[in-house]
Amino acid sequence: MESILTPRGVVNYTNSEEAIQAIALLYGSTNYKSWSDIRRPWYSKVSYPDAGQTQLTFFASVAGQGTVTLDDTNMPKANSFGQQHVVIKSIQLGLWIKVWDLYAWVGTNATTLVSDIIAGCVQGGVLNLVVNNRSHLQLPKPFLYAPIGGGVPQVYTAGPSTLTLTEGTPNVIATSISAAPYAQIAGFKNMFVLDPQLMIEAEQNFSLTLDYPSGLIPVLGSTVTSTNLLKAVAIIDSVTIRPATT
Amino acid sequence: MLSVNAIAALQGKYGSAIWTAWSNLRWPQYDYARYTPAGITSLSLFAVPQGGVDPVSTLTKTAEQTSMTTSGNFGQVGQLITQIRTHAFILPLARQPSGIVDDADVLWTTFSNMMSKYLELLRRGVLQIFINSKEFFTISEPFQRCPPGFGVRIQQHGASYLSGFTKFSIWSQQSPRSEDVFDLNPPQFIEPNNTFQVQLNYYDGTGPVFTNLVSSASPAIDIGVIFDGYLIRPSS
Repeated sequence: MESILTPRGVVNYTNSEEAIQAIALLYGSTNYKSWSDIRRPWYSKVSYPDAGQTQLTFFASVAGQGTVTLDDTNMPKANSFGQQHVVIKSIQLGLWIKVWDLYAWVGTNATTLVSDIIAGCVQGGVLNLVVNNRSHLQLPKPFLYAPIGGGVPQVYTAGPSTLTLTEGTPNVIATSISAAPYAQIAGFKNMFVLDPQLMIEAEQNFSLTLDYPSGLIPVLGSTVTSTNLLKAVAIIDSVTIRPATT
Repeated sequence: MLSVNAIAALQGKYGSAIWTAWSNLRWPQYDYARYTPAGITSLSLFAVPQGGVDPVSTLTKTAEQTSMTTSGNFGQVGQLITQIRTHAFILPLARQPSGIVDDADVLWTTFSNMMSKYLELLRRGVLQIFINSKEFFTISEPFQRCPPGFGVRIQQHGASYLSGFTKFSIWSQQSPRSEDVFDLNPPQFIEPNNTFQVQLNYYDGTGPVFTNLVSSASPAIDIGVIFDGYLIRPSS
């Protein structure tokens, strides 16, 4: 006779099969004969170090591992979607930072993240998607070629930030600095859509890396610090097919 | 062990190409070649594969510059081209020559000095594409007609007047809008092992000259051509 503790107390069953059926009825269980599909973006953020890095690896960590949280990734397993089939609709890559300091800009390359967008890490790299050890995508300048879809923040500025006059006859401008520049690398229409879609089956291994084989590209913006990390974020937007729960 | 058994064992372990079953993937084929600052009359693309040396930059080409593994053909795979994109690419600051890379405010001062010539670059040239030595495309002002369809969205460009350099800053770029891309309809197929040539030619005189335009150095610019479309390859 099997005994099992349930919210209703200890219940006795005549055999284990009966016990499992009762538990499944009570708590639900995975039904591998019935599947449901949902739109699900899978995301992975990794730090882009100050000095640059030869390779950034996405989707290789899960939340709860080290300092990785759900803000960084929603992966169920490292390099695999676990017991789910994932039909990839698009692959997107972007930069993320918590604080974009608009007021830091004083006219030098280092004082704005725009420098990194127009002349930094955004302007290089190659994205590699490998599924079961076979290359399925190689994309140059992926921050540009495959930006994140959605609405980008809009920032408009005008007028000088700094204007210094030098005494003389007549007075001349010594320093003139405009308001902060601003740029973004996103847009729904620029999304890199996979057509035909690519399916990664349950438990298949895959890797998504951003490589810089032609040399490191250091961060330009001094806004980036150890407490205000610059991160690269990759999104695999998908229709995910998973077993129903009964 | 018989060789046929050995091959079967290897195929079982590593997989093998199935030449009767083909799959297609979205796959841009691309090639970037360095523009000579003194100006050019012709530039060949898709000619130097990965591992080869760019004749102008003298640097080894990697997957960042080209998807090609052989010169002028895609090998055992086919490419169905649905879009032709061009990219006049100003290299990131870290890959610019000394004089530029060590200038602390170059992006907002003397980089402006090359933008007039850069705009000229975007407005000139003829792109020609030959497949098996037959001309298929001749497109004038390719950087306007066939923009990359990606790029930065600049909402505000800053300006600084420092140490007497300049009173304004300029940044030019190609259209980043995806709807401006040059679509091929019908698409163009380059079959496996077909050879092809891609050239940027100047028939109206030497192309724009960038010599020593930025902080007394010549800015590094790559010319890129991207064949976006579908890679047709054998299944495994």
